[in-house]
Amino acid sequence: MIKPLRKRHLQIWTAIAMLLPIAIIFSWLVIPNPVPVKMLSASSIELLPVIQAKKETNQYCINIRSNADKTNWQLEWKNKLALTVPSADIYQTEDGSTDITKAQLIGRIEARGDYVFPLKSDSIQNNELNLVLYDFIHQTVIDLINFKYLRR
Amino acid sequence: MSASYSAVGWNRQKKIYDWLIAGFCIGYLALFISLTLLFNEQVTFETLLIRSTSTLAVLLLHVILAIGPLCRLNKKFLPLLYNRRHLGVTMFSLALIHGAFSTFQFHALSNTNPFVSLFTSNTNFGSLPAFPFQALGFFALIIFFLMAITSHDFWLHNLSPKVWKTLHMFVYLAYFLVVMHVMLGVIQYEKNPVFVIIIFVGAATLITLHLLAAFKERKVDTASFALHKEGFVQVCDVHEIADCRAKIFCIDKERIAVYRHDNKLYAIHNVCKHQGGPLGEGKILDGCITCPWHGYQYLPHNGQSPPPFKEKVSTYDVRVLENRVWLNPTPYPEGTERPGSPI
Repeated sequence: MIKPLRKRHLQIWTAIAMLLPIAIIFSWLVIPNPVPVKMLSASSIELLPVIQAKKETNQYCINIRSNADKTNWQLEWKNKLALTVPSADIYQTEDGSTDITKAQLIGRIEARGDYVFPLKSDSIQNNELNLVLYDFIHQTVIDLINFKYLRR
Repeated sequence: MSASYSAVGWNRQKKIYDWLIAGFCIGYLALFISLTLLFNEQVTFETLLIRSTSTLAVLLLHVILAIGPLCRLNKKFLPLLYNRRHLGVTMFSLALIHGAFSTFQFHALSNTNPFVSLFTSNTNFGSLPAFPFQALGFFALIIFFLMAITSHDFWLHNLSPKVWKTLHMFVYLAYFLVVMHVMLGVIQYEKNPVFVIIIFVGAATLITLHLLAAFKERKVDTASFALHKEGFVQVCDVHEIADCRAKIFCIDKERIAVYRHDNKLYAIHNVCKHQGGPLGEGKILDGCITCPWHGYQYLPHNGQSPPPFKEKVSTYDVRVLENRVWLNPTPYPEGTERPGSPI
């Protein structure tokens, strides 16, 4: 290596030494909180006994489960066919809108598989549960799913 | 060393090197796929391929970038440098598989052209957590592609060493883009800090190695020599140079290697014509100064490669007076014969 090249290497790595740690730390600090709960397979978690509501499409089947006194709730998501996106986030919205910036993140699913996510009991307001299936790569809403009369 | 070009100048060392690369890659992919299937049996083939190739490519990139400074810090790592370009092409191939399958899986299932979709599906350039991280990976892949297709000596000679080296130094920009591709991509969906720690440790290791090596080299470049006489500079004692080996001195702008061979001292320019390897860190094999990087050879008394090869480096005058070595830093034209100084 010639002297100017050695000098350029030193300059480049001095710049990387200053920029890269800052970039890594900033990227780490902006990780959304809470981050999506991932890949909770149905076999690894005990399902609550009562199915309070159910929705089924060609693509997937969704069960809203609870215990007998409706103090604990779960969202059970079963993909019947592989999704056309490799992974997607499930959000809960209060008013049925599709604005995910105001929505509560429930979890992340992949193209195939069964998933179970815990739901906060107080999150089922007015006996309703509004879910948004969101493609975070293309930033588009895939589906809006509404459940009613859950505490009846 | 070659008089003409062939696709790969195979020899035993290169074959061993490539078998080790292949063995490591196959072993890593097998382990990654087995563990993923064990803990997540629902995973799709595409996802498995995207994740296994990406993690392996990032790992290989770190190894590639560590080889240079490791060799400058310790000669024992020189065998790793010998066929580094095959390691680079392997890394590019894995990154290409990752990029191709990712583009297909994430962008090919709509009416929009996948490459248009890659740049238009997310335009949140002003937001760090929602930044279009895929574009960073795409540009890094373009740099790796240009490096891979120009990695052959044919391009080194035809582009000129200056252009070739400048192009290949873009690997540092590509590394920065890869780290940010990972940090703003998959890491944004991970709550396990182990991934951040791995990336941070990798970056810290590379930065430390490169800076240590650079400061070590800087010491040689800034060494001062007090005694001057008739254009000659006193550089060391004759016993400090072992037989068939050299000592490197930087007197004015460039480094000079002073070799000891057959009880004589010879001085030649330290930079190999092939890829700028440090000739003074090599040794004399079969009467030729042999570059430690890729084995290019030069005759000590005239700096010329033995026929039929045509590479030449500058030669210098060296004298021995009362066991002290005196060196004239004014170079002779490349390939000029100098008699050497008897010890």
